Amino acid sequence: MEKSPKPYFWNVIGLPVFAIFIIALFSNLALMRYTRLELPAWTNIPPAPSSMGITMAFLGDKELAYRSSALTLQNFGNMTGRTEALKDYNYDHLEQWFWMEDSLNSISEYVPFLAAYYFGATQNPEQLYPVIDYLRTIGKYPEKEKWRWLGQAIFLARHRLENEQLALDLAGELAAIYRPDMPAWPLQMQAIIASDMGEKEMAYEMMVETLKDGLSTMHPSEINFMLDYICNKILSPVQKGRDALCQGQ
Amino acid sequence: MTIHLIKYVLLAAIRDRMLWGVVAVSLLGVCLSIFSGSASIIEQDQFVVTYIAGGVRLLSLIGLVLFVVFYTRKSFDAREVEFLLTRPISRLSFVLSHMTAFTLLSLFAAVFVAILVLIFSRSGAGPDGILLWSAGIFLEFVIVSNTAFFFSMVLSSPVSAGLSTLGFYVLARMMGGLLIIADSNDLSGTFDVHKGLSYVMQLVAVFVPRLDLLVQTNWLMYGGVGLSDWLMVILQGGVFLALIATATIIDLKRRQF
Repeated sequence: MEKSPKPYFWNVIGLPVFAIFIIALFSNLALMRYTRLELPAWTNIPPAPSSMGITMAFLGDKELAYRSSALTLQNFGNMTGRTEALKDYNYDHLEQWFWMEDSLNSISEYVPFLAAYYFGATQNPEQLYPVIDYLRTIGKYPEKEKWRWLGQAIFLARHRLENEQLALDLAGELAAIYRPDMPAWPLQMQAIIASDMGEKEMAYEMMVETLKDGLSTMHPSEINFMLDYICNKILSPVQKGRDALCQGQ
Repeated sequence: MTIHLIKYVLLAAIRDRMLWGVVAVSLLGVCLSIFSGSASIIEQDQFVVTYIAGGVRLLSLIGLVLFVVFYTRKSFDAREVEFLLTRPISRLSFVLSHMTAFTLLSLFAAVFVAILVLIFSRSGAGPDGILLWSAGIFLEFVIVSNTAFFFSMVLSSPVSAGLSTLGFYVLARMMGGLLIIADSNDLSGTFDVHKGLSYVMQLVAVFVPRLDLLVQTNWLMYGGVGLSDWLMVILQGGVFLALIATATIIDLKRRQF
């Protein structure tokens, strides 16, 4: 018996279906040539969502909303295979994000850490005002180690922004929240900055006052440091010779 | 309530590999949580615990809902419910036995998730936060699985019952935010659509528990829970379970087979 010829593939499925399949395939190829150029663009830091909105987006779980959005904050500018310079970030929007995060969780150190050590490293120090404002407020929270963020704000103001007056104001605020369980440098900071600004008399008064207040509680090495600073940095050699505090220094 | 019926449901859960499903999906969730959490610069442990607490909880809950819905609808479609009710089991006992079985399944899922959280929790917040969170997640699972039971008794399609349960869950988790929006409308003065919707939302809130208050992930990080938190969790669980149990019993009692 003669074997019947094997039917062509398009005869089995029907020529119209096969034709539509081929057209659809080529249409997809053509569309891909267009869509492959449409890559996600860096749209800079967007305005922050409200804390209520983002909490609802994470099904009412504030902590999950905080952690997820904080990780997003960390990765802004480094997503979709691109790396953007911090100087190109919108720091005003960034500040909105800091406060939104703060309203979700004011205990965690994660966002203050990002603000101080990551966003604080911007190539354009003029952008640092929102970061300093944020750290200034966070640093006054009553939790045990939060004051350190105020210390970091002083560093940014003094060494990155080179705004000595702002640094002095911040150091005053840090000294005002001093507690006995803190080291002595938050108290000394104001005097050190004043001394570097040339306000030697003010610096001397502050240091002596700090010494008087903390003599019974401070570690001896702190007292020695302060005496050394007064005698060798604040006072001139002539003043040092006359000052009773500097006997033996 | 009959022990045999409870065993029957639990056997169905084992047969459907529901328990293994919860374990497998939880372990997968843990891996993803560790991966995502390790991307953070500091506080990696807190990130991992938060992702486990939020993500694995949701995955386990979806597993429970799917099992309850498909088991219940299959029982109706295969006329198992009619068969069981021909035995000396009252309709009240039928509902309570099923609810007990779903509560036991919820206990299994909650204990497993709590153990996972405990393994990764190094916050030093103390056991009180983890204990309350575990109790809260157990009650959340119990509430949602029994709500799934109610919806699958009332609605004939498993898809609509499953979607209704998940919709209920999302609504219950978002209820705090929705009430803030409703309260932000000044309800005095002339009536308009927004005021009407605010009233509707406040009415809906009567029948929907505040699941956002029932389980709070920050308890795992910072502890600091008090008696009022415990009372809120227990009271919410008890009050809503009583409502959903009676609604399910009423539905079954009025049903004609």
